[in-house]
Amino acid sequence: MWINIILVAMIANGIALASMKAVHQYGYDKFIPFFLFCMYTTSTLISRLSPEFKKPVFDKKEVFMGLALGVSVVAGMVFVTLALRFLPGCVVYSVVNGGAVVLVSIAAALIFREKYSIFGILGIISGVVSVFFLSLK
Amino acid sequence: MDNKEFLILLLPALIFYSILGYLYKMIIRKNCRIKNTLFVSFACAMLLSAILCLLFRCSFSPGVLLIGVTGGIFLYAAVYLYLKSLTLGKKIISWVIFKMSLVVAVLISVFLWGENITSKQTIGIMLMIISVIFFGLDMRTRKKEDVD
Repeated sequence: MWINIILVAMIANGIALASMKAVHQYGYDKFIPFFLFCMYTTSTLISRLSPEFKKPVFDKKEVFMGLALGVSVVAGMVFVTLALRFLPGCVVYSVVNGGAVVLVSIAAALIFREKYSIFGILGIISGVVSVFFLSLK
Repeated sequence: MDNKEFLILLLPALIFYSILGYLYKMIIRKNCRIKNTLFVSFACAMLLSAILCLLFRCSFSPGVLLIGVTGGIFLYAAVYLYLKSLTLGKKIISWVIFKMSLVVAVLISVFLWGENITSKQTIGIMLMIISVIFFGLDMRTRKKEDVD
């Protein structure tokens, strides 16, 4: 059951990522803030109209996490859509999706002295080599 | 300017996406209700993008409205279902599969918009996918060690 859910989530996320590219592809570069506004207004309306959303009583932690999530989402999307103006989609999507994992792992190893298994070390190496290859034309 | 210089543009995006990944985990760990948290986050994002619209004096465009609404529907579905699967199934496998959405986005770019990918970039994408799989295996190994 959950495997179907995550597969649909994966495809939906891929389409959502591609919609950012569509803005540039169809020559709407100067409308990026309006695109983001339409995107988030739609998501807000769906989450408000959903039948599961019966009790609009919020916990402090839910409000805090929601706000942090909202700020990170918008900031991340703004930079991704800007990058899509200059870089091909395949480079941007790969670096943003996979690169974030590599970056967090390197930061955790350097700052928190987190220990990785052989797979983690291989993951970091292949991630770094991947960014090198993606930077080539 | 070549790709190397433009890649610097992606650094802030990378940092915010890393924070995002961490926040998703925290939402599950802190037992936040998914619907409520998502509503606050999307409402916050809507307000921030409205401020951006005012700052950059954006005008209305029906084409952008269509792309934005489509993107919004899929974005909501993706985040909601991802968080739901984290509560229902194996977190590590869910995480690895969700990260594979980059393949869907790349395929759309290539087949729908005819984006050209060089052989070096193809190697880069393959290595990034392998890297995500390695991280999934690393998480599983460390989880097993913790249990032992």
